[in-house]
Amino acid sequence: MTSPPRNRSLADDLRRRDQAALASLLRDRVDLISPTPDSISEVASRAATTASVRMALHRLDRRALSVAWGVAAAGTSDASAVAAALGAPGDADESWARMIDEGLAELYRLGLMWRDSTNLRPVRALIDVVPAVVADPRPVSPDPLPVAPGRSFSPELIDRFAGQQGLVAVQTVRELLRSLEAEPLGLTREGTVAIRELAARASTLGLAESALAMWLELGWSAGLLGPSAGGEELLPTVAGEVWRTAPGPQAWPVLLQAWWFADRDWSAFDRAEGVRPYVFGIAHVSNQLPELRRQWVELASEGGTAAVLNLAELLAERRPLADAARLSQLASALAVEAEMLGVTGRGALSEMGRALPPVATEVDPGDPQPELALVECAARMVPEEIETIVVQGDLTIVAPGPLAPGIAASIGAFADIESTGGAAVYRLSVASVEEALDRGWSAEQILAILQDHSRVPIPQPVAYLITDTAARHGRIRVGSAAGFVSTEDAAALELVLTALAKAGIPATRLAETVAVSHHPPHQLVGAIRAAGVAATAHDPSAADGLATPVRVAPPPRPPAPVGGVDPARVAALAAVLTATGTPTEAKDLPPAPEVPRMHSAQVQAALAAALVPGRRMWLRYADNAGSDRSYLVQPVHLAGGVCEALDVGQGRSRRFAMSRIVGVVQA
Amino acid sequence: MTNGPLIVQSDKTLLLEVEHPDADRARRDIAPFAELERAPEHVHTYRITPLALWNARAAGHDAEGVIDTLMTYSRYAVPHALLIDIADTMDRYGRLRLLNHPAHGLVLEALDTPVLEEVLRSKKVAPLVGARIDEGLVVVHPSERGHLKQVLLKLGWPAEDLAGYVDGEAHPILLEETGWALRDYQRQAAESFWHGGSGVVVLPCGAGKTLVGAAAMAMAGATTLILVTNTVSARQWRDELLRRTSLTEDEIGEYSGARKEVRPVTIATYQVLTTRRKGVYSHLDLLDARDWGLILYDEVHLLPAPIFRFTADIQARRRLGLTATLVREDGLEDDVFSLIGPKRFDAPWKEIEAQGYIAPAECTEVRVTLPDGERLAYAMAEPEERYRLASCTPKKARVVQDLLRRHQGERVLVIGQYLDQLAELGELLDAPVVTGDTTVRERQVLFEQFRTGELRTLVVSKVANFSLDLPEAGVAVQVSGTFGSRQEEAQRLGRILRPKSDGRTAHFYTVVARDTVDADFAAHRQRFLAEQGYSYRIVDSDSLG
Repeated sequence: MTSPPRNRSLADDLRRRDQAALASLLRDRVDLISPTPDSISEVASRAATTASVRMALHRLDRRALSVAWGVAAAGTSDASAVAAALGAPGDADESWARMIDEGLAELYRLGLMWRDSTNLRPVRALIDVVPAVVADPRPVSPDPLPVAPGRSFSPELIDRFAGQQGLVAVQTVRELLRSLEAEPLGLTREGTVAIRELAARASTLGLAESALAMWLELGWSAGLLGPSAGGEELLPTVAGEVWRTAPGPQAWPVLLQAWWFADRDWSAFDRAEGVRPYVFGIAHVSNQLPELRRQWVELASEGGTAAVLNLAELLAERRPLADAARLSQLASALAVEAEMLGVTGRGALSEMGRALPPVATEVDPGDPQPELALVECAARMVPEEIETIVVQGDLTIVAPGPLAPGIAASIGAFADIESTGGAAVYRLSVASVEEALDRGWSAEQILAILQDHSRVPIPQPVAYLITDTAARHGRIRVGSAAGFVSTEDAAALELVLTALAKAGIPATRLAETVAVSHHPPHQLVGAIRAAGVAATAHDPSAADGLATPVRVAPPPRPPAPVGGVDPARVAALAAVLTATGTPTEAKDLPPAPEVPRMHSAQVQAALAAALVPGRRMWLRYADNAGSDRSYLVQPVHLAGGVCEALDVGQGRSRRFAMSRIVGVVQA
Repeated sequence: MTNGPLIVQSDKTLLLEVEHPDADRARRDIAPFAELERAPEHVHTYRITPLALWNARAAGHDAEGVIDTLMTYSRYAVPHALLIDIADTMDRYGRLRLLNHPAHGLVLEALDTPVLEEVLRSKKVAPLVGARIDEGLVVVHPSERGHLKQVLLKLGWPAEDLAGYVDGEAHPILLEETGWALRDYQRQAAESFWHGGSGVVVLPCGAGKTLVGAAAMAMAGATTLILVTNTVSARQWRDELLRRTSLTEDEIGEYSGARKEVRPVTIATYQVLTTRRKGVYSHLDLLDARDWGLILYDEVHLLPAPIFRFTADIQARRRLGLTATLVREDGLEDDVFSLIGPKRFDAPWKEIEAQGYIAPAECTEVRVTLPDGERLAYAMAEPEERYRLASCTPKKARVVQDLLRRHQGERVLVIGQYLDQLAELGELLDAPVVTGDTTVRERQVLFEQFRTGELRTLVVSKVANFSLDLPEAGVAVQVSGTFGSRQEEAQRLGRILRPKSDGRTAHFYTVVARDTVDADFAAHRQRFLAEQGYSYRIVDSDSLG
């Protein structure tokens, strides 16, 4: 047996760690990968700085932090010295030894210690920083804080609760999307939702503002809703429209995944103090939340079939350096969210909660495809959706159970939802029926839906309401147009319409002497004048009635909700970093193939497909001089118009501007 | 997954499927903590409110029991947030208690010091309390007992009032149960009230609320002030007391617009008590005219707001509220709870059902279309004139004629609000018109003729129908008139349209002008009727034929 190679530094040690160990380190010390380091040496030198060590200490739980303090105080990793420094009793038992062992392993994992040949050695900064950060190092007990379970329920009951709640969550977001479609939510110039708009919509939908904020932001990050082209309104996306009609078991996991990666604290909307948060703003963003959420779920799972009553304390134990009051606030916010989303049922972790992926890939906005495992799990938990309704004389439609999305959408088109939960109550009114008629429904269609699905005969007043409203519908028509043409002379209008048609500008004649168009006045005037007819732009609000064209720049696109650390990126980076530092001579590189020129979208797609650890690609890259060169690379991450990749020839990671990549091919 | 009759919604409503075999049991079990909100044909809606939960607490139910009931009958999982909310809300009742302290008199006692701290910090509580005796005890000004309870309820910490009552001036009253006997539930209701001290008994119309009142009076054996909605009701109370108790005519006084008698048992109308002269309530002395041992409130759900204010000052007297429903149009349920007291008894649903919330009558709305000329006039009229214009369209007269023809031989009431419209109709139909101007004697003659069948059609104004109890009417046609309280509306409808002895269906027609405010009011009313379980139809006047 050969003795282990002697490391002379943290960098040496890191270089000898395998890919998984490196990934585990990088995942928990994200400051080391931003900006992307080009080599292990760079990782090691960043890791040794006091700032980085200070951050890393925040990752330690109470016991590991004590050990860190003990190491710093004793100046050695020797277990008995550390124990003595921590004031362990002379006859210290097993639990002290275990605490110190586990603590040292954690410090090593996080790169706060490294191994020369035989000994674990703290990085210099650790010894300097720990005493400054840790006020009271002495552990109350070397044992972990025990879990305090609440009342226990059968797993079936928990899952029944959670499944039901999951479906309610889905229904809520379906209803939210429906409401956005009917009446888009206005966005401010900053791309956020104004306070008053949020309050108004929340009351329309019967939701708390914090809940609406949560559903909106989850909907956004799941790609179900987004800003209109001009950015002034919030609308359902195409994916959202598809999602809306998906059955519960498929729709639920999409929300769960969005929540799993979310970095926002919606309870901030309920708190009076502090900065007032805005939906899609940043005041309530906390990048620790995804991690906290994982820890929360992990701790909740320790309760088994009971809720864990001391989750806040347990979290505080995991993060002794965090603000305990804030942590407790976040813990209760998470408990509320988890229950709302069916992660827990009656406070205990549900099967779905357990099925949440410990490490998962980032959800791709615009393509909300839930993981199959989650869908299967959801199918077991979600109550069956029904298609029967009860139509009553007081103009209500009761669905005595969760309504299947298709029929729910149909009924929602002509009746207003009044109550949600296990069942749904809709109310028919002249206004709700008119709204449906506006959107092209007919009385016959509405009645057919009711007749096909109602368990009881349709009461006469309901049928009357629908047919009577339809009979009166359309007596007065209101529409919008961007421009109008008006003249005293019907023949002149004839001429104008011909001219507009030739110019490819559709216009509709409303009366003998009036026509409207969806094109603005200046275009109409242009087209009419081009045909040799004199025309004047008319603006009733201007003093002389003549318009001055005003051009409005579209407001900037609102910032997308920030995602957490992408575990796939970390894995890819770890793979790349373990390969850095060993440049390959040009002669040892495989011969560069002919890389064809490609369209930028093709480049993007090909690179995205190559984001698998270990996959290598040939890039054809336009350099500063304007001539193309080929690089053998291993892509790590695509974002912000930049592709991060390992340059195999150089043995270091570098950033390639996407705009300059003219072609790619798999190596 | 169970298949219960109940679905618990996240907005705290409970949907009950009435056709479900377990529906009756579920209804009985949820009644203590949920208020029936609407009862259309198939699915009834109940609502869990804080007050309902506190009522349940006051009646001795605990959160565990409420939650168990929900879980037992619920078809789907009950929202967790709701369960937590129920437990939290119920837990708030009784943390504060009003007591009579041997040394300090009226005090507010806290089982939970932080709660006391919280409420004492409120600006509204501060002026109502006196010295702090110790951590959990503070003196209360006796005159502020009612006010304090109101404020505490608004703060979300309803106090349990255990401070007791004055006995009042003794006056023996005996039930004379000859040829009749108090029904079990009536006795239970009276006893529950008596043990609770003060509070509300909920019984459906016709379930014998007066007898519960009489039983309570017998238990109190003291002078009693009875507050009722109107003079007709006052007379009914008087007759019933004379028939069922040892009280004689000399012992019962009527205090109304017509008479001002103060006797050991005095029946007063809400109206006279709330009459103001030069901005002053001139009949308030009645409340202190005697040392009342019991104050009875009939139809608590109609109790006018000023009466609550007076009631706040008489918290040391026993108060019994009688009503068919705790739901109020004006949202003053809080004051009923604080000032009269918690719900002490609720009738089993079977009784209500027997009483006929289930449609006893066929309601029909007939829509007439205004001719173009009238439509134009309507469109250009001032908003306050519109209702009158739409209501009084001559087209309605034709409809009334058609309806009379259809119901030939039956006794028909035509009800309206506008006197000229009624006069025209009277002439057209050759029927007498009863309005507020008609003398009582004349009225009685006409009503008697109507009862015997000598007179088949009667045109009455809204004023007249206050004293209307004409079970013989098989058909009512309403041509104009808004309804004040919807609750009152249903009761009145039920009274006019009692099921007939020969089993004929009674008919209630409302004639409305379509596309006008008249129709808007009608829609509101329809909804209410349907929610009460009355079935109704809508037809166009053209299709009447």
